[in-house]
Amino acid sequence: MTAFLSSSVGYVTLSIFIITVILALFRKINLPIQTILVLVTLVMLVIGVLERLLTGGMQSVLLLPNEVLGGIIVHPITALLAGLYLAGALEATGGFEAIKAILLRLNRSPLGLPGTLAILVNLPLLAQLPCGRILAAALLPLLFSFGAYGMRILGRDQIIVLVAAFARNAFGSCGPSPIGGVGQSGEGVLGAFFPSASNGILRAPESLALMIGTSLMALFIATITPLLYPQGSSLHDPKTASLAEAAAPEIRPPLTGYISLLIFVAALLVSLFQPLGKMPVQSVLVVAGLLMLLLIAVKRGFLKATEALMGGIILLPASAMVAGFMAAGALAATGGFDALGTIMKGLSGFDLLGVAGMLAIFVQLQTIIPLACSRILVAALVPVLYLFGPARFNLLTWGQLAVVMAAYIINATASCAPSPVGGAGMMAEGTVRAETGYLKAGFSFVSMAVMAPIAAFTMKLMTLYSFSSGEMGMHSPGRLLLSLGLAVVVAVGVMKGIRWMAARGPGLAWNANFTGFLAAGVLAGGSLAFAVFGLETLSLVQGGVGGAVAACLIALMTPRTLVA
Amino acid sequence: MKIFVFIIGGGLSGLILSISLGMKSMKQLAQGFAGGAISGLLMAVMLPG
Repeated sequence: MTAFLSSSVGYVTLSIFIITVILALFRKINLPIQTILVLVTLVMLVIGVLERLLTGGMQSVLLLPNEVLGGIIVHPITALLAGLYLAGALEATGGFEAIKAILLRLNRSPLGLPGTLAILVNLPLLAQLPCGRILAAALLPLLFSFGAYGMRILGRDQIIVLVAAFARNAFGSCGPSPIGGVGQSGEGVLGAFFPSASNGILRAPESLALMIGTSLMALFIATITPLLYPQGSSLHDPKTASLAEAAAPEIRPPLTGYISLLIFVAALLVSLFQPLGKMPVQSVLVVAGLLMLLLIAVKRGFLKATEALMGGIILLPASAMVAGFMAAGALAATGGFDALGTIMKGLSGFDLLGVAGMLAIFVQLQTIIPLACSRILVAALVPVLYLFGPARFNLLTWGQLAVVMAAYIINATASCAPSPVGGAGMMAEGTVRAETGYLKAGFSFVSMAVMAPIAAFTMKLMTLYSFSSGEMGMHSPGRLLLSLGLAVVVAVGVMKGIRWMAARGPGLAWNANFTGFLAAGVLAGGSLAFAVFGLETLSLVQGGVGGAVAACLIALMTPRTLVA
Repeated sequence: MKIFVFIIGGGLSGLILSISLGMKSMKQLAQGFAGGAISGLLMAVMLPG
């Protein structure tokens, strides 16, 4: 009896967690996601207490809080807070104004408008902040000012495409950030085998995938979204606009803006390359933040400076992370992770799915269930992925685990963008005067079909080799570029297919989009299986089936129409 | 190797972005590629391994 109780309580807490998250996703529970997670944690704790009272007695109950809190990993939280603190200081000192001024000058350089825009959309990735919302909040108004209501350099459709591409980049840039990025959770787990994993084993795969995903997001929004939602954006072109009339807005950042930008870049470089010896990233960021604080304090006084600095700090990602860790801790203590691991392992027992199919679904889980901040589920799911490796179920070798982790983390990281529950993508949709959900299909498509496979191939063909001292993976730039090119060609081909199908008749756009997602899902699942298991026919088929299941679930959540 | 891959990847990204924005002249495409390649180079320099 007690054995049955112990083994089944994990399934109960896991079910409560998943059902609650899905109810929140469909807005059946109208509370902030952090509140929901704290309540779920309490419910799971009560269940855990009852189970332990019956099976292990009071002594076992007293250990429960310890096990829950022990699951909270403090490093990424403090790094995130330090990163947000620094970004707040940058905002308060006029650092973002300095970035805008530099961009406008670049526009007049030989790079011209196309080159400047290519750098602009990749700026969040280059800035490496722990939350994409920080830079997006600062720069989305600048992007908007390129259009009819500002400089009139770009037309309506171009503004929409540009904002969407920038949003894709920004709302995935928290993954490869070395200052409290989402990827650090996965790197911590891989550190169990790769000694230097914490130096950033996941950063190159995530970054390359995000750069390519950014441009394909632009292509999706330019070619597919207008078919899905012809009236989706109320943004208009200027009625009478000529370039002669166009006047660039005067942006005159204060000198402190340029100085704080220099301090920020220096802090980033010191954090990345550690030229002053090994030191915690948090220390570097706090010192840089204090220097910026001094800059404002000289001008405005200490109290005003502190107020301005705190105003720039966004608490959502930090609170989401803490809530996610609490729920993850409760799940771990009550056996929820073991239950999820057993369920996923059971899925891999079906011939149709196998391990490859199960993994193809697993890496897409957070795009299927997109929450306001990817850290919530990352905290819960990374330990499960770890269990698939040699540490528990032995379904994957360490090298294969690293490849799957790269695909999973970039997919997870990018999931805050399409989330309907306070997702970051809403910021971009608001900027282009569109209804909620306008950009969702594009965000989901590139995460699923482009970014996950590219991250997997980059890990296998480049990063794994250097982080395992040449013992695993391959050192093959030619093959990596070939797979990169193939991923782009396949994505472009699927988009052309969607357009062709949608043109067959009125009202077919959503069905065409669904079919395109399905085809892309099959190919993404198959290519993940290829990256993990090589050229094994059975694995390729199983990966394709798993990819199709994931793609169906993702495509079904794409809104048919947009409602105000 | 890493720098080379990121320059090409970034350039490809800039090229696709320019096409998506409806910029089609050779000069515009070259500028888009260059901007993307610069982003890729900067990114690669900041990466470990």
